[in-house]
Amino acid sequence: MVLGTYKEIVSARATDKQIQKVSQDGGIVTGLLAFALEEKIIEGAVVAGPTDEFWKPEPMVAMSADEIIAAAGTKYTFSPNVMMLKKAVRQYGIEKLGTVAIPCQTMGIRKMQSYPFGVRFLADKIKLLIGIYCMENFPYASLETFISEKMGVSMEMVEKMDIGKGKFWVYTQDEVLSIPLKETHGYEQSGCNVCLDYVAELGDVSTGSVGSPDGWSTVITRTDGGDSIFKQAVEAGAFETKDIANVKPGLDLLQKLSAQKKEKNQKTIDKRKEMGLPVPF
Amino acid sequence: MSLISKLKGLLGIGAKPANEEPKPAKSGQVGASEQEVEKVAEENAKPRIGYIHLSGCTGDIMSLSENYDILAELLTNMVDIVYGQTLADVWEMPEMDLALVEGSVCLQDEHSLHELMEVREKAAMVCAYGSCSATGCFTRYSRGGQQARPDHESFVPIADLIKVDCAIPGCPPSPEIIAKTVVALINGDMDYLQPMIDLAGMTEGCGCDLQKYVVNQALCIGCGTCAMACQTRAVSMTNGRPEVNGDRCVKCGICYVQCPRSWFPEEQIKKDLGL
Amino acid sequence: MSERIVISPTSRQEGHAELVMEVDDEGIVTKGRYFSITPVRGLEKIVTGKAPETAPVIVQRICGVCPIPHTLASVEAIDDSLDIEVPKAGQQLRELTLMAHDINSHAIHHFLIAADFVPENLMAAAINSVSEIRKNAQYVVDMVAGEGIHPSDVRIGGMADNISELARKRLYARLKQLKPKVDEHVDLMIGLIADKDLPKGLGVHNQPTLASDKIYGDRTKFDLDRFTEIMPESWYDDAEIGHRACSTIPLYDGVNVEVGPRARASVFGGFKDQGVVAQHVARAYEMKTALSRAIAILDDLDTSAPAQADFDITGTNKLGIGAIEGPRGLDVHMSQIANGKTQFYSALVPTTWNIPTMGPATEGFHHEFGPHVIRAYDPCLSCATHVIVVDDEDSSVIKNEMVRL
Repeated sequence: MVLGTYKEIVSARATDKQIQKVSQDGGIVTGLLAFALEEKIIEGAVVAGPTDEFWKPEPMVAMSADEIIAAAGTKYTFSPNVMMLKKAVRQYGIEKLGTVAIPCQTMGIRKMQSYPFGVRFLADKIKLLIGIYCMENFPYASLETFISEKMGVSMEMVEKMDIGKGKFWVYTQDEVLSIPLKETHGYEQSGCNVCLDYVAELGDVSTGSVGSPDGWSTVITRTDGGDSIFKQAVEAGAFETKDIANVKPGLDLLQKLSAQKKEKNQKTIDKRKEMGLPVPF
Repeated sequence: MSLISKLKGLLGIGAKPANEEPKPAKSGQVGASEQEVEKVAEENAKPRIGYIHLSGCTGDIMSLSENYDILAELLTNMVDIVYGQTLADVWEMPEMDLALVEGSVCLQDEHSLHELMEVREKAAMVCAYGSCSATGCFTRYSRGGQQARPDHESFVPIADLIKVDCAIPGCPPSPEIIAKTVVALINGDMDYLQPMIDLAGMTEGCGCDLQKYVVNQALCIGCGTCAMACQTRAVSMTNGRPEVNGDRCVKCGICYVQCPRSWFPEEQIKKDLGL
Repeated sequence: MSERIVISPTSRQEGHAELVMEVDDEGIVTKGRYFSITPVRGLEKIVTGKAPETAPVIVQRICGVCPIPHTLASVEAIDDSLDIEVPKAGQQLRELTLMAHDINSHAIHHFLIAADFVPENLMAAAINSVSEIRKNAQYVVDMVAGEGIHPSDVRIGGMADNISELARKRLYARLKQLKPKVDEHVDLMIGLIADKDLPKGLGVHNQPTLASDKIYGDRTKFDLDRFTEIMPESWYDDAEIGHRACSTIPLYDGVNVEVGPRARASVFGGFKDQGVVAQHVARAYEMKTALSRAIAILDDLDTSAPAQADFDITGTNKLGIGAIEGPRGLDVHMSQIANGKTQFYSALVPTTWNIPTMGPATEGFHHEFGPHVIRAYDPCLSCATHVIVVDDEDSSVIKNEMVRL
């Protein structure tokens, strides 16, 4: 159960060269949303789009594959995607909506679907919720601290950020820089420290790089809907897949990291309870 | 035993001594309570529902009526609407399984006070239906001085005056939550209803709840659910944290109610998703 | 001898009211008085002293049955006070919202009067017909105005957002498709109302009608000089009723009037019929008019155009007027803004206009028909509570001290 309830886990990557070029890892989020749009499973998607400020994303409604591709790549700071869902089904007129969410965002969406106290005519319009693995998230100022102060690179020079192999990586046009992850500790938002969900256990499909080789992602299908959409996409040739048992570093690493997050944050929860602070879980 | 007293027993309310009835069905509990609920559901699949309108705008019952695809079925086969001036010509308040009370109560209006006391007597379950009834909503801003009744000054949530068994906040509550609640009631699904029972204790709502009970408590993760949920668009996000525009906040409480960090119904979600 | 029949509260309408009828030996009403007993939440006083933006948010909560006209009248009054010119697309989206709301609101009224006119065997079909129409109408309000019941996105200066091209095409197709359904529904309701064989002349009164526009509302057609308002104490000849009544009595040219679909049809459409049946017929036909207008707007709308004007919120204390023809009639809001705050606010809502006319309209027929007469006005009582406004000689400013009158 350390990976939540699921139907299948595979290693996969998008076959589209353009997506491969811009995506963080296997291009699963971009590829699957673009496929769902193409097949009219969704009519638009809320994604973390670019803004005038470097690496400061903002939720946007993408209604074409080009717009989805333009939003590809991981941003390690807040993009409150959930806030745009309502506008997407109101003024944008979308009846079948897709989105990408980190675990805490999937929780907000799923809670709204089960208990839509004040949210009308939105719950049943969300047709595809892609969850992404997440250990923690950083305020924008924390990112600036790592990159500008610790690595000595200005934000606008950065072409890609990544977390892997125990390090926080920054790619510029001509260098690759990194700091050990332990140097980022204490810079994450503290709300992350009570979260027990690493692998987006409530997504229709969850994905992230961990467990798969470079350029590939580990895909977990969970709900009937998510499983079916992903299988259609594979069948249509949008993704190539490998048995997760045959890739390195494999499922063990994913399980290990998920267990670590649960264990560490359960301690925070217990400590909070001792102090009489509220905990929703 | 009447359906009403059974329901009272199941909810752990009313004047009956606790040992005469099974304990309230809590989340995750199995056994006697569930069987009892099933039996109740079998004996009477049509709950007798009344609608009481105090100082509300009728938007809440309008929202109920927006269950378009099931409205005819709902009104004819699923429930008996036994009271409610907006819907039926009945003047004598009958006994009811569930009373949906819309609107806050005006302390200067005898007619409203009398009606509220009567509904507590006649209904097995009293539901604060909509935010005016549950939290006071924008009537919290009332301060009298308006003709033709400048004396009408003080409006409070109904739980300030009577025991309330459950609350469905929202300005208005969505059509879906009402349908889900009625279905859960018919099926005796107490697990689903538990949050409504818990929310009966929340008689104050405001955008500032987000700051006090989420951000100040080191729980906010900047997901944006509050901004999505806000029915007046009073909430936006600044640097990943909620920004509440007090000029638009009506104190309905929905931002905090929908926040995944206020309470989190994990089991129900997994059940709904088939996980 | 005369007997007194009291129906309290009157049913299948919005809010709380009492109908008091004095009847003769034959049961014929000789004197009818209808008055609101809904508590006064004092919305005008709530919004005074606050930011202008607060007003439309709060006053749309006057009523959950007709929140749209209140919102529109509110933003129109504020636009007027601040001399804002709303861009074309914003104005079109506002009107589209009102048209969809008219269809929805009239359909709700048919639901509420179904028990009076619809035979048992047609009841489920009638409710489904109402639901089908409302579902489509509310789909428009949700998309255009943000929230179907209390619209979040009707704003000072226009609308919060234009809609997407996808939304426009979708709404256009939905409403085109709805047309035969609405036609059929209107025919059904008019037929059933005719079948009821209500006594000829029921609900006919001698009061004039008041309307500012055929469809949307026009502030230039509401003349503040011709308007006065008095307290229920001096209107009702029964001291107890005068005291208990919760709404003021507005007069135009010194007399009480009728507003609503029949008034609009009479002022702008040459419609001559009067009374209960005429009110129902005029209301039903408006569903068709509103639908045609909505389709025309969607056909013309430029979704890439701006929907909201830039404006300065400071204000010059100009008395702004917003006049909207809501489903139940003329809805006038007044707002004065100075120093960035609302200095004065008043809402003169449809049911308040009709209340003094509704009671006397019951006279001359058996008291059993009294509720029919009341429901023909589709009264909305949460709305009908209101601060007194008295026109000033020079009509420039409405002063606060007049509130004491």
